[in-house]
Amino acid sequence: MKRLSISRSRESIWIWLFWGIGVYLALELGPCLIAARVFNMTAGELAGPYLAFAVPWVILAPLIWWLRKGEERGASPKRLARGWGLGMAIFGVATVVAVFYSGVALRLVDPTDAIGGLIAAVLLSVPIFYFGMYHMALKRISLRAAGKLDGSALNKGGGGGGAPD
Amino acid sequence: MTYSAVCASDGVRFRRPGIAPNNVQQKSQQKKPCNTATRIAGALKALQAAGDAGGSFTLAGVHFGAAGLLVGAGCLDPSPFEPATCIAAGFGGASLTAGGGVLTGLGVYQAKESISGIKQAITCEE
Repeated sequence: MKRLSISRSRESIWIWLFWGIGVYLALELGPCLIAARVFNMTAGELAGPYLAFAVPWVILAPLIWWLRKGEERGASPKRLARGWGLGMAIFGVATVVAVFYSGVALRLVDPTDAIGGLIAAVLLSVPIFYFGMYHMALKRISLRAAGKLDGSALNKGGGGGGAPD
Repeated sequence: MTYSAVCASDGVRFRRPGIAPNNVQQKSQQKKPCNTATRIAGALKALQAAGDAGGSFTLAGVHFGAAGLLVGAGCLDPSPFEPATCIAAGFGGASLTAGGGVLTGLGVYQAKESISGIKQAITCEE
């Protein structure tokens, strides 16, 4: 059990995913129980939307781990910021797809209306997520790389603390 | 002018002579007269729906922006409470993104209503 300790989640991607996805799936149960009560639906009907909403985190969680490892190995801040932006954009698209899929699966939205809404949501969310995260990540990673931001937690986790290349 | 009494289950109703029966009346009511008032009503409907759609899209954008900020705040900087902070931020970000998605869907519906209003203003047909 010590091997799966939460404190070791920065060392291994499998421990990170075990805790990250496990806790996320447990958190998802709350909204599912509320939806089951509100819409009077069975567990079988909610299984599809439950899994659909898990997909964005299943994509983003390993990306976060790799991006942090990349920072520890000294990858360039611009490259890392692009990775964060892309990861966040994919996360946003997957979440929006989950929303409209759930709407159609639970018969809350007409499929023809859902397609228009999905396209609009993707067009609106992707630039906001990509550029928002890119600028935020670039600023923070550059500051950390320059040693201006306190990166003690990063150093503690093992690695070089984001040394610039 | 004389009125004829019509017996109904809920009492006695009066009907003006010469007025068409209900089904014919409904059909004539469906086709609105194409006048300036109808066109103005269509234009106003279009304006209101366009305003609502704009509001929905703006609010959706705010939701997406807040989701990005939340994930950035929770996951960009490693904290002593890892991975709890990042998971919580991811869950909050997904919830905000879902809210933004719903608002965008609403905005698209309102945009369609706006187009229907423009059509009414031009052709008098809904």
